[in-house]
Amino acid sequence: MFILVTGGAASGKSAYGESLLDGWRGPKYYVATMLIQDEESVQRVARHRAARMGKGFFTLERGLDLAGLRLPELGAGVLVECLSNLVANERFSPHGAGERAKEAVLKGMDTLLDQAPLVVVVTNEVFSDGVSYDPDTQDYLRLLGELNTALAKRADHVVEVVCGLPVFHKGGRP
Amino acid sequence: MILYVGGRAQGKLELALREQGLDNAQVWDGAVCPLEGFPEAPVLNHLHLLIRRLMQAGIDPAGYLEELEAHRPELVVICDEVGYGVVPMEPFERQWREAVGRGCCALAAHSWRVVRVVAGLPQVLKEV
Repeated sequence: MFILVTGGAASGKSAYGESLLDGWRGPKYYVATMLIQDEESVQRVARHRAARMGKGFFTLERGLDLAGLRLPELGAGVLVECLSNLVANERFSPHGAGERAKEAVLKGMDTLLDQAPLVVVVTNEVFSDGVSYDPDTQDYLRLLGELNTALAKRADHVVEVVCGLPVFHKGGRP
Repeated sequence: MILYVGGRAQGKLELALREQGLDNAQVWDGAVCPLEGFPEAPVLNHLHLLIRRLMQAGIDPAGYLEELEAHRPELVVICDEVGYGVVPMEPFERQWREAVGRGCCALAAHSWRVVRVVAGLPQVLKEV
């Protein structure tokens, strides 16, 4: 089962994504894709960690090379948070896949889906402010949009979270 | 509470007034209203601008919204969706966007009706 969860900033998409693993009987892995760069990301990580506390997640830091991730156990439920960071890291980080970021992320998703019976990926709606950005940012927006589209095609369910409330775009309620 | 959200100029206010049987004279405008006290009209429009003004005045918007819920449980609230773009470079803009999103999540949790408005059309997200 592959569920794609999307939404705007501070829409409650993380909490919703986590709730999809409530009651999962196997191991639960949280694949954290944010590379810690500044105080704000430290605070963001702390807030997400506090929210996950007591929910039984084992955190795997994976800011790059998702395809290289080997889950410690079979039968796992996996929450990847979030795609937008992973894509930015692959595209712009010195150790990332650069021009081949899209292929790297898709291969990473394939590898993950082969290893776990439940995969929830949280992504981000960043496409609707009507601003023309610098070429790198425009390039990133196209890349993330294409990946969201490609993953939605593969997903069993696609859910957009608005004000903490789910809107089911594909496959109905997971 | 009743919450209407959606992009700019999507006809949120008009839809809300029609659905609730109210008119423009019954609207409290978050863009210009006093920051002391709570709305004296049944509709609070432009919540996203009110949150911005509260932050600029050094008032915690989350605390304000908690009190607002307690004091005005029947209020109709209208807010622009501001979280569907690229993360802003300016820290204040990021904090504002975050506060609007979290604020709407909190209000939605306590609302008996939540409607997203697209091109003037309602999409009911919650109805209790």
